[in-house]
Amino acid sequence: MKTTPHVAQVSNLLRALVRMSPCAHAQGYTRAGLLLRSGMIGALLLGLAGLVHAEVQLERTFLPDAHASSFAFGLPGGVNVCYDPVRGGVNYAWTGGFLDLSNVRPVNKLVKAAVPLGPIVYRESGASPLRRGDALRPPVVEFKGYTLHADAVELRYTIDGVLVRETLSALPAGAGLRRTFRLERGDADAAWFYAIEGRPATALTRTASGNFTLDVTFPARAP
Amino acid sequence: MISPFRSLALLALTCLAGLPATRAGYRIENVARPAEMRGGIVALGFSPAGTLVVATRYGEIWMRSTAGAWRLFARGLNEPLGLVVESDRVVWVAHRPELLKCSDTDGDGRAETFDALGGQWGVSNNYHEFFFGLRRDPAGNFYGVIGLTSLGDKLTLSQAEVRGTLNPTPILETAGHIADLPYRGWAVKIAPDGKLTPIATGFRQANGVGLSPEGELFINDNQGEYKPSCGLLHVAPGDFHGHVAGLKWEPGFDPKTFTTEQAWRRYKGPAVVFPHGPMGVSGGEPVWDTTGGKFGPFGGQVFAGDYTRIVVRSALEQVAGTWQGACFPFLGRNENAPYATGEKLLAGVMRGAFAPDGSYYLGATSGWGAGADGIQRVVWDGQVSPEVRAITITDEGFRLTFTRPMTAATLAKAGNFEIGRFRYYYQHKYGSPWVDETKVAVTAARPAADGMSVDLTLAELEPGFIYELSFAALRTAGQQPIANPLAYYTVNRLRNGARAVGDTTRLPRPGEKMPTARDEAAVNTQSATALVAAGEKVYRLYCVPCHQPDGRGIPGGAANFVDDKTRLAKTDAELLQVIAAGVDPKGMPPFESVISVGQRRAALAYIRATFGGK
Repeated sequence: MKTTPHVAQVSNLLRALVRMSPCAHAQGYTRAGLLLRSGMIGALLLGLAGLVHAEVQLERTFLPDAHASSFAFGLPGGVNVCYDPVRGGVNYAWTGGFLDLSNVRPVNKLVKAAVPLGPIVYRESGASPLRRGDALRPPVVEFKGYTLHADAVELRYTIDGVLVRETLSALPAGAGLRRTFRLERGDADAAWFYAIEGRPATALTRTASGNFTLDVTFPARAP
Repeated sequence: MISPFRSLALLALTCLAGLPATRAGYRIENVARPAEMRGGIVALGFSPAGTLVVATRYGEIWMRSTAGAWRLFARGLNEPLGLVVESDRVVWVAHRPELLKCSDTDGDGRAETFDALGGQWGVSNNYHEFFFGLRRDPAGNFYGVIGLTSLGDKLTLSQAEVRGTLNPTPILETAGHIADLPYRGWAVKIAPDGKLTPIATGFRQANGVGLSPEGELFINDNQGEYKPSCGLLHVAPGDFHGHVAGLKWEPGFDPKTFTTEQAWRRYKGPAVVFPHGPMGVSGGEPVWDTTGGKFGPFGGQVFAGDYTRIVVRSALEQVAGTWQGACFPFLGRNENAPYATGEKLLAGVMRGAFAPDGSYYLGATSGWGAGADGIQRVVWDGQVSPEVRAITITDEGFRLTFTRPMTAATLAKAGNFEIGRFRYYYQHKYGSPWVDETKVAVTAARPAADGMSVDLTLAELEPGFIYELSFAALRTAGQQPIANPLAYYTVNRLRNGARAVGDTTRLPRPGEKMPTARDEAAVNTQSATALVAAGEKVYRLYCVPCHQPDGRGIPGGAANFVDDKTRLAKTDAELLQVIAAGVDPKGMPPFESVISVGQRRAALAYIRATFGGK
């Protein structure tokens, strides 16, 4: 697991605490489970850290509004994401707890999807939104794999044959989702767009390193 | 006379060595698992360094070092049902959507890099869309089988929710499983570059994939529609192994003109049929004993666990270019003790692997509705128990070879060998009764001088039948009986090359009544004692896999007649209805088309007489 030193320290401490929680195994690392088993120290740390996962949570399963075998990622920072490798995009994001898996464990024969444990705060649909050269043309997407980092996940897929490395991480305080797209080949001359069904396409602007970054800010919640 | 002091010293030495006082043949041990491990064991293997690697139904990969320390290697996978362990840092996994390479590139003990290959088959959220595997050949190609979609799971397939293009064209009669998504029901090869090649079809839920030491692909498919019984299928490119659903993805296939008879004529049956009932009900992963004798006298043979409490042993041979052979109960059906010591075999042991020390590890899951979650280790204790080691076909009948010398007196008596043969229907209904069942006379028995083999001459030997052989009367020089006095040999071919169309099946004849009507008539006219005796055979063939020889069933699954008195408190009519219709949706399957009314009555009479009730 690739870690930065300060993230690793916090992650290791929280990991040790959440391992004591039965809910951590049954439903992801939920606030309730931590409080039950970790006591005041855990609660105090959570209060300091916000509602965070100790490390990237991952379940690949039957999720609502997604193709089969989609990903649920719980990112440190309190942001949860459904990534659909067939569609080739983030279908939705939610805050709060991770995932209730009781519907999809084998005895229930997958007749119902797993349940996100929090409000959906972002959603997109339609064909894969990342477009190369033509904002209106749905691309050919092929999923290639992923890498788990301490506080982020990198997804690898091809868009019309060009390998894209997309990194998902939470914005500070769980305010949203940061998506960074890195192209394996320079592909310097190509125009890239982000086109979500029902919304105007966005021309992506490269950073100095040649990547694209897209921040998705969640609506502020009522106090 | 041994002095008391010396006896105590020997006992102490034995205890210190951790050895049982009595050697029986095989010792079954439970392997401790970490408390954090979630889900039953659905894949296991060993790294070149000897690390045990297991996958759980809930998507975790765990490693146990040779020192015994467990660590979580990966998590969040989608039902990983097979694995190939390349090293302590790289594990290839067959899970629902693809072949996944899990790599610990930074050496911290946890995989963080996951590369997806070969996922060009269709996937929906249907429960039964498993991807079974996994084996790799010396060239680096992987082999697995894509399970069919079940119609019984109350899910309708929508193009918007699936990967792959739906093709809802029906194939022949509606059966329990479909292949409306690409390559469902196919065995596939995945090249190192990820290229997917469908190689053969006709599979239903092939929950066991194996490569023989010769590099031949063998797959253990599960009984069901178009599948009269489990068995070890030898798979070659272009094969059709029975279930018609996957044929729609075969280039040039025309569903409009296709008939059941055409399917039957193409059908390639198992190299070794594992008769449903006496040899389990849902077969698991086949593994070859390549331990060089560390696991006892069965080197080169195949072992496969089952959903129920049995491990089947199989001895293969090539006859006129075709693989076939015999199967035997290995663990779980031991009729004559001593044979195995230690823990009771778990139900649901569907995965297996040989460890570097020659012991046989079994992974069990309760995730298919019954049984237990756990890992067991089977160790040969050095004692060679008396067994039929192998059966080979001859021009006149069979040659049986033994693990230990048998007395010439018992070998030379032809009447000590009870042989019958049967075959199955090829049909769209679930399973099949035994049909064309006939006793076959043994006209001569010629033992070898060393008592290690016997040649049997049969009154008839026909291709396209499964031969049942019973030999309970055989004895060693020390009057020890055979540990497992039952075997089945699948005659796909005779030595002269003769082969039957449809292998060990035939089509039901129009208007044909239950082929067990003869048995029914016989049972109906017999005395109560004879009825119970007839029922014992029915129970042994069809009921034992789930309800167990002692009637105590499988925890979470089959009924325990002994300890749960409510089970047999119902009336005969109610229980006969249960046997006929089964218990939906996850319980006992219906036996109405498998055994006759008379056989059902006989089985119930035996159950009542043996386990109590009204």
